[in-house]
Amino acid sequence: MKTAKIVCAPNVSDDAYAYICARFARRFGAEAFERETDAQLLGGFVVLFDGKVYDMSLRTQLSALRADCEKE
Amino acid sequence: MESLGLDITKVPIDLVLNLLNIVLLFLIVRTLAYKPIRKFMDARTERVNAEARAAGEKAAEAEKLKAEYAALLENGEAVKQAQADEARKAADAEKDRILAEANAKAAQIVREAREQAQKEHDEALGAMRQDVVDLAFDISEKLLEHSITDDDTKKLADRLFDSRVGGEESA
Repeated sequence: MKTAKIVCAPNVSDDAYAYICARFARRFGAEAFERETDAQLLGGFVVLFDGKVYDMSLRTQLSALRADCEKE
Repeated sequence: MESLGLDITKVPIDLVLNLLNIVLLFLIVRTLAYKPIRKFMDARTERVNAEARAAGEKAAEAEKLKAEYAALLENGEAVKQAQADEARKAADAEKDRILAEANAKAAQIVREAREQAQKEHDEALGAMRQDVVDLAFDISEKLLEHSITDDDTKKLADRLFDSRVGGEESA
C-alpha cells in the first residue's frame, strides 16, 4: 500500500488536512496517509511520497524569498 | 812762530820731511790700501747692484705674485660663486624631490583613506541591509504564522496539484 506522509504546520485544520489528502490521492494515487506536525513550517505542509518531497511550507517559500533579497 | 814752539831753521826740512812723509804715506796707503779699498768698494758696489737687482727681481716677483693672487682671488670668487650656484641647484633639486615625495605620499594617504571610507560605508550598508532583511522576515514569519487560513492552505495544495511539478524535491 502506497503511504504518503504529510507534515503540517500547527495552524492546518483537519478540514484542510482532509482536502490535501483527497487531492493527493486523486493526483498521485496514494492509498494511506500519515500525519505529522512541525511548528517550524510556520504554515502550509510538506508531503513525502514515493521517495519524493513536495514542500509547500511557508518557511521554504520565505527562505527562497529571503535568498533573493540578500542576492540583490 | 816762537810762540808756536817751531824752530825756523828746521822748518823747510821738517816741512819737506812732512811732505815727504805724507807723500810716502799716500803712496804706501795707495799701494797697500787702494787696491783692497777699491776692491772693497767695487765689491760693495757689486753687492749693492746685486741687491738692487735682487730687490728688483723680488719686486717683479712680488708684482707677479700679486697679479697671480689677484687672479686667484678673482678666480676664487668665481669658484666660490660657482660652488654656491651648484649648492643652490642641488638644494633646489632636493627640495623638489622631497616635495614630490611628500605630495605622492599625501595623495596615497588620501586615496587609502577614501578607499577605507568607501569600504566601511559598503560594509555598514550591507550590515544594515541584512538587519532590515532579517527584521522583515522575522515580522513576516510571525504575521504569516498567525494570519494563514485554511483557504490559504487549500490554495497551496491546489497550486501543488495543478502544477505539473509543484514543490517537488527529491527526498
